[in-house]
Amino acid sequence: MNGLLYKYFRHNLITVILSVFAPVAMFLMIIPMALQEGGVSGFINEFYSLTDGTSSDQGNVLVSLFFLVVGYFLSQSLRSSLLKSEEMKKWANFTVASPKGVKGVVYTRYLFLFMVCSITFITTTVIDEIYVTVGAWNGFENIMSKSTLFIVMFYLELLSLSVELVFNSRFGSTYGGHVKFIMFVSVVLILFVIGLFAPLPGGEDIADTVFDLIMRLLKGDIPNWLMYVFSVIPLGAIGCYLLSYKISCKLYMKGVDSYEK
Amino acid sequence: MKNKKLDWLRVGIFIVLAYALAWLPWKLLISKYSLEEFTTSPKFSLLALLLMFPPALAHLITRAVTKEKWQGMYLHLNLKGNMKYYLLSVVYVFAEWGLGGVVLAIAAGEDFSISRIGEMTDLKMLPAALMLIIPMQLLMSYYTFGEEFGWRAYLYPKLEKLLNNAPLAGILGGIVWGLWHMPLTNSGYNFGTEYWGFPWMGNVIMCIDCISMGMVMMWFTRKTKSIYPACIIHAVSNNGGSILMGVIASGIKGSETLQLGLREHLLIQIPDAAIAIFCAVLMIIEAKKSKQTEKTE
Repeated sequence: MNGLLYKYFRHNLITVILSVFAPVAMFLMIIPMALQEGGVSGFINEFYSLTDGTSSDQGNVLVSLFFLVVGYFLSQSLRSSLLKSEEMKKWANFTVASPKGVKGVVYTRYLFLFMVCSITFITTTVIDEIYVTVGAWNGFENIMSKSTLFIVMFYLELLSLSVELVFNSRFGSTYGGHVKFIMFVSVVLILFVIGLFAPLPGGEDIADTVFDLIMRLLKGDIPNWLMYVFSVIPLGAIGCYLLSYKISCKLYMKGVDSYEK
Repeated sequence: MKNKKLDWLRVGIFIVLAYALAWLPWKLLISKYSLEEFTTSPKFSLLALLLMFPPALAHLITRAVTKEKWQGMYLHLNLKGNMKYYLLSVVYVFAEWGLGGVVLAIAAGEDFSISRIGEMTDLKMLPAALMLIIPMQLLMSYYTFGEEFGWRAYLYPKLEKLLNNAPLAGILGGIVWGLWHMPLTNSGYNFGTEYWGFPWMGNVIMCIDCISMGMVMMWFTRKTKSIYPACIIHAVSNNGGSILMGVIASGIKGSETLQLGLREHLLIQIPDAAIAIFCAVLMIIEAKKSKQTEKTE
């Protein structure tokens, strides 16, 4: 199914590139905010003072994290449109007639999206390394690498894709997109409600607690309970992705029957 | 005959390029900055990543310069039917280091006690740590892709073809790979500088390490026709693979200050060498089998 994989990349080249570089582009949007001082050194100082993890100003860390997280979600939304061009009855029936059949077609879809996610992860971590290195050479030696965070985000994305792709296979990408949107809104709502009303032991402020947790995480100081949660997420996500592939294989032809064209 | 000469030339070009592209920047760096600065300062984190890619670059340049076909690059995942090897690759790393810990414990004799392990380490967190290391290094294995795409995807298969003997190719490849680390070993990165026979003994141990590990990685690459299991082994081994050894070694008296010197490195090599010999035997059997089937056909 190498040909099909090649076709996916060729047909979606622009979307793939945009999806891969969305987190990086969002991160670099901080540049105009930093361009307040003249000269390169002034710019670098401004840039890093906006994002330096060790700064006493908590907002600085949140700026860089916010842009990266927004970039990741933007990248994820772009990824959902990658399989849209496939949704034609004739084409779908033609591809499943190949020797590897339905399993081969579904496998290629899953592999393609996994590859795009992996490339996004690699570009983001490399850009983060460049960011850390440039900062260190300019006196900001305590900037923390965010690769741990990117790993968690990668596996969360894999988890979300495993749900979305099942609906995608059975009902098409529009319906799959709706399901993903509902999932996302539900999670945001739940977090919002927890953030507003959930009592914390000791009467601590939830925003401060979450921020402290992020800072500890970035420093590699992971609490024991979170270590267990983190250790379950990645393996769970891989398991879900494999299970999702198995389910999609069974549902794919039913989905093809429901295509409009 | 002409092809054989050309292949030897390719091996030569590859080795020269892989060494030159890694050694020159390293020599320049180490002449200006201390080893401690290089290993601890974030100034060099990107450079450390880039310094793992010369073998991959050498592979690409050699193919381009000698007009070799862009085939047999071992870049496919080949997951179908090979998942067991991918899983085994992770198990191997933990087993190798874990057994290394057992050997250290045996060598410690009366200084080792199992009850001390529970006192020294939080065993409750061990499963979580193991479960975390695997998926993390699965992603971070792109770091080691640079080396594996050079050694396992180019040098080892070329040597195997030329020598017509997989274990011998593994030994020769391991020596080339081990000596490639010479600037690092000579600067004390791997074993420090306070040992008998510094720096040559360090290079010998590094070669033994690379022969053992390289042999196993070669077996995985041959089995899966893919370099990714080797990338995973390399990544897990470099980052967190030694956790089991650390836990077992914590049972040794004075383990808080225990530093892995040359003796300890040699001891750890014993199980690794045993696994490598087992892989070499498997490769010999496979070669004999394929020759027999060729004859019958």
